[in-house]
Amino acid sequence: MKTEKIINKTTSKCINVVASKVESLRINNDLENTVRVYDKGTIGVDGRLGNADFSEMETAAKTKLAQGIAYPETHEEAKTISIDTTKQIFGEKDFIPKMSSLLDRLAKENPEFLFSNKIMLNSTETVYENSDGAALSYKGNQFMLSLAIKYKGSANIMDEFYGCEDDCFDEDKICRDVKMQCDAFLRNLPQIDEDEVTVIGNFEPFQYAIQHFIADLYFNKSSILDGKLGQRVFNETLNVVVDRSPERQINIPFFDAEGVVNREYVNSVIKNGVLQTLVTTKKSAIQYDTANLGSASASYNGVPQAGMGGFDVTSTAENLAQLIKGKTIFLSNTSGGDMTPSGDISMPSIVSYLFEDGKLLGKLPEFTITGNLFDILGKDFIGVCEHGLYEFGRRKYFVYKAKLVNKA
Amino acid sequence: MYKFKQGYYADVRVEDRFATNVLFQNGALHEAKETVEKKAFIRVFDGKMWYYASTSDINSIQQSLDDLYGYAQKNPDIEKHPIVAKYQINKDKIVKFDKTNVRNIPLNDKLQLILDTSKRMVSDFCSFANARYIDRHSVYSFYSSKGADITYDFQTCGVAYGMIFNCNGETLQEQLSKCETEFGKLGYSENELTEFVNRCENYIQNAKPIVAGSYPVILAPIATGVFAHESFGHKSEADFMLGDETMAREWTIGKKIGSDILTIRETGVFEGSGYVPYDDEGTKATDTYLIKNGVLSGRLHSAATAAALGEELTGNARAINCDYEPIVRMTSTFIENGESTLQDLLKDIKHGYYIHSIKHGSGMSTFTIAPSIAYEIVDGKIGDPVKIAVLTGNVFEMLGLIDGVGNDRKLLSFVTGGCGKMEQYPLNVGMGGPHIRVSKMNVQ
Repeated sequence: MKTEKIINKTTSKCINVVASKVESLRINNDLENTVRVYDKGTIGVDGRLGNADFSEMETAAKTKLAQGIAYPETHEEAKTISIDTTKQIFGEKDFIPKMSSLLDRLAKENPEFLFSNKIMLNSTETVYENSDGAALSYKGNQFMLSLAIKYKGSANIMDEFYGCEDDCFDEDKICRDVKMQCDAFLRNLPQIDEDEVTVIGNFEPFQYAIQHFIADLYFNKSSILDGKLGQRVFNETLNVVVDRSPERQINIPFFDAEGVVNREYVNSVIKNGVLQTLVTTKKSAIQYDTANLGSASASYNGVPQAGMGGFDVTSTAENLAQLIKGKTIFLSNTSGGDMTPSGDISMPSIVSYLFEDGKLLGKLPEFTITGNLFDILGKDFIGVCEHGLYEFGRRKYFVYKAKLVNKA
Repeated sequence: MYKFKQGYYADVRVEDRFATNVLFQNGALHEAKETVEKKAFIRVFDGKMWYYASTSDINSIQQSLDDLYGYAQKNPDIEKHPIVAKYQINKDKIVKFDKTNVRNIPLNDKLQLILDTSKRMVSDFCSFANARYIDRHSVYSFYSSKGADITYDFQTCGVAYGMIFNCNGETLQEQLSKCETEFGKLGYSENELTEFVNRCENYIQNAKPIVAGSYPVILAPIATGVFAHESFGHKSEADFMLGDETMAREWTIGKKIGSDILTIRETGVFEGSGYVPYDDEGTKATDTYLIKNGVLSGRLHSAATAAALGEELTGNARAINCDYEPIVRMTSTFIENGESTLQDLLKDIKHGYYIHSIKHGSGMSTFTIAPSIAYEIVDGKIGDPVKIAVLTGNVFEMLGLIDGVGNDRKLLSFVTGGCGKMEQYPLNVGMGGPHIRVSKMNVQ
């Protein structure tokens, strides 16, 4: 029999912003406890909130073995790692005054706009231990800014969005970012003539396909990637990884929900365009005799399942200037897109800007981006970089060619 | 019950939630859990700022309340504050699900129900299948410093049978689901199961690509419901008007904004996933016409938005659970019946599309629906299945482009998914309507 014990403590201070002012402060302190037991090929899980008696939980988890949920008992090298990435972002009493100051400045510098939604300080403490002797612990924190931006007089619920996260705070950089975005929003440009363009966006096209990478679907011939494991399917410069490196990720434990620590905290999903590893749990990796990705997730009282925590696309360039020459389109706000069974993607762009030389020249009328998944991640994929537009926060820009339709 | 201090407004919301979640994948049990969580959300208002805390330690509610008082400043005139003045002082107890409480149904009965049903769903094209059982029974309590004392219960239970159909390397993921308030109503007849499987098999074998363009479209009730919710429901949530006086003038009640045959209604009184007899500020549910015969007739409020806009409370301040504060949200949103039959709606269409089922929808300035199963309409008849990624249209234009409303309204409840607004997802809501016809939408 193997036993796992997981403690996850999260704290959050959350400011709600209404009409560019601090409206409220919310304090959340949550403590989740999990005990999993594995015996004779089955799993039993007990989860409790708040302070818990772990011996009582272990007894409860053992009784749930009788449910007969199949799950293999695995034994790996017992690692003992403790990492604390916590940084001092604000002093205890500085959060509200500093955010009030930020909001006052944003409102003053952008008088045509209203700002709303959330600003958060989050911290996480996660401990994973098992009966083989593994002892992993992680502490981290983050600053999250999630501002809905509304042009005064617009009939829309919101017109733009500025979101970022980091383990530091820099008011000047945030103000410059938001000003750049708001100024560009006010400069209305005519619709562009071209039907095929280079666009800068996020990983949305990949996200439409993400379930097709799950091992349970792949090995049951239910994935659009059927039969492609080990084959070059995408552009040879495309590298998709699960990256839980404490240096690169903010407020994400370096281990997954099953205590898996990847070598140098990274594992490849797509390597140089080749489909390398599927999204697994320990169970599905054994069931299908394939490598375990190390990205499992689990609710505090649930069985581990395939997860996407730490998914990332490796940069191919330092900045946008190295990837793009001339005018391109920056997709700032897309909504409601999807993919057909054939892999054809359609993605309505709500707000986009013409981009050149690191600047947003102005706002374009609405249109829809289209392309096939295998083209966007294949011959039409140009690259990924971290820099070249916004100053604050950790972001990546995904550059590819696509078709424009439904031009307003 | 709780010791509220003078000079502040405060309220305490407690939810005692029981939930079951069972999952079979390809016939093997993957999850079978019963969760019992009792959490509280505490609010204190001093007239300038709100202070919130959540706790899973029910014995510490008074301590959390006292801690929040420490952040706030005493305000002797707090009772006169426009928001506080709006709060209703309801005292009520509504227990509807005592006899049918899902807490009392043995877990094994729930497992057996979906295992037996999924065994009856067989297809040579099915490559992967999962079967879910999900239920929830919540007892909500609400107490305020003004004297509100409310208790009510909420219950939904449901099944969702997801199947992936594979033909020549292409896959269709489709779900047959049902949400009720009683466990005994969750069964499916042989005809219902066969019809579902046959429809999916036909689709995966015969669905053809479309030529993108602008076409007339008929939406089935599920798509109509998503349209009502996404296209206009969110725009009726009054919090997006706060601080923008221009908007309040632009959205004057009485303004003509849609076709004469369009009426959209919103209410929390119906049992199902949108049942909210009292919202999370203790306001009693109302029946709100958002659009009546094409005319803007109402909007959805919390106390803060009702006070700011000088309008009445509607019972729409809701939170997904006791981790979050209430914000303006929908309950059940639906388009009212018109007079046409489905045949009436179809007969004038030379070439268009019929949207049978959907994956998701969204509504900013552009409204989108991602269909799951859709059909071509040719010369007034539903024809071959087609592959459509997304339907789009400008929300404001579309309200005026509805040129046919059916007489077959359905009110739909759900146990999977839900409504998302910023950080709060998923919120249980209901939606629906009859078949509607839109004279043109972008079909991609």
